[in-house]
Amino acid sequence: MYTHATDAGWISRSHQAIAPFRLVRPASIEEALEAAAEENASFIAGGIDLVRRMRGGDRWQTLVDISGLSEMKVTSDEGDHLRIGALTSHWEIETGELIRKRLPNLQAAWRTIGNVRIRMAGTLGGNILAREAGYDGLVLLGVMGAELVFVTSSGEAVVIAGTGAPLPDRPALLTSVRIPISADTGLAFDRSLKPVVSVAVCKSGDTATVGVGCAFNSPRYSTIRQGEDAQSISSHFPDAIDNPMGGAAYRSRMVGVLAARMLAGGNGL
Amino acid sequence: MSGELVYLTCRVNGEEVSLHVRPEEIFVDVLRDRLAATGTKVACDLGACGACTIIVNGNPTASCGLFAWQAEGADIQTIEGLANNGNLDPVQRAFVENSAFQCGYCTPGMIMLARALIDRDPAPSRADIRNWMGANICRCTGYEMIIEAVEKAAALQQEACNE
Repeated sequence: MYTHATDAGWISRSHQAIAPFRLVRPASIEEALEAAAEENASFIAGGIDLVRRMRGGDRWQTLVDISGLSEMKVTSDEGDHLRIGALTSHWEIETGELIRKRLPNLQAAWRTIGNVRIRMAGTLGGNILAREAGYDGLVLLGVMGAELVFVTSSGEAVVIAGTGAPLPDRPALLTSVRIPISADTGLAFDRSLKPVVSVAVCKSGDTATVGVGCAFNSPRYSTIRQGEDAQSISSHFPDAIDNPMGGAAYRSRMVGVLAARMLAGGNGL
Repeated sequence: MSGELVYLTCRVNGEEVSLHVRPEEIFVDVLRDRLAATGTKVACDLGACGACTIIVNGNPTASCGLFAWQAEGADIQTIEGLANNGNLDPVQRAFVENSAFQCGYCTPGMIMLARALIDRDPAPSRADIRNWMGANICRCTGYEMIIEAVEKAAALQQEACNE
């Protein structure tokens, strides 16, 4: 036996202990919120990030498995919005018929996220709530002005992605994302320079919203108007992360280059 | 503090398996240490490299990033379940015939990833294969022969279906 249980938790071959925790499997959103109200609790669905973080030493006393909450897996057409359940997997987003019809540019962009194993296990909600600098879900949703719909013990709370508004404190469960649908809105996305920088551009009328991932601790957004030098968008942002993966000046410069390239003829705009 | 044991029931290579697991127990450890299915390898242990890939309900899955209880009710295939009465699966045959491995450590994961692709798409394009197989990492042989092996596996399977 290479693995053994100790008071420190299950020891995997990486020799990083996963601390013991209590598992709760709620049957409803209300039960999930109640369980998550306990001290040091976390929701888990696909589990990709949580397992990795726990191997890295993060500890939770309670994990609340929400993967069985089927009401959070539904995609529905609400006319001027598409509502996508937070438990929808990346794979379901990239293959969903309703999303293909109503938000084809988003579907095409989402198809580039992660690899097939990640896309089949990972969820929309997990991508957002992981709050990882390198995750692109919020970059795309932010430029589109999507609404992040949370349920809390005191009712529904909506956060508009891309505004910098903080996400609600726990216990709050992200149940769905409402994405505006507009015939004159175009979306393009370039993550060819990941993990240095990823850039999304959403154009509506004579205004384009640019979202930047990877280059900061969380996605940043700015807008430019038609006629402005698109490369000048770089100057709209604060200093980028400077590390061996990519220097701040290079990341900043590439934001402008990629944005200008997409605005000059990117697919989807 | 420790959570209560969780009762897990799933099917592994067609056989029903029932056992108690700790909430923090990882599925690859169940496979290797409790079910003696050591064909599934562990490399990065972070869900990144894909050496531990198995098929869960038809989906290629990193078993090192899966709590055991997440497999409740699942139909699971591992590399041990591919050969049939000593006859290699077309994907296994294609990997052998194309020398699509060197040290072989990534091979079970590569084969399971390819198996999941061909189960979904019996005739994938080369671009589809490249995109799909990009999920797993081989650190020694390079990818060209692996891509060719998956193309060949699809062809072998088509031949078998046509016979």
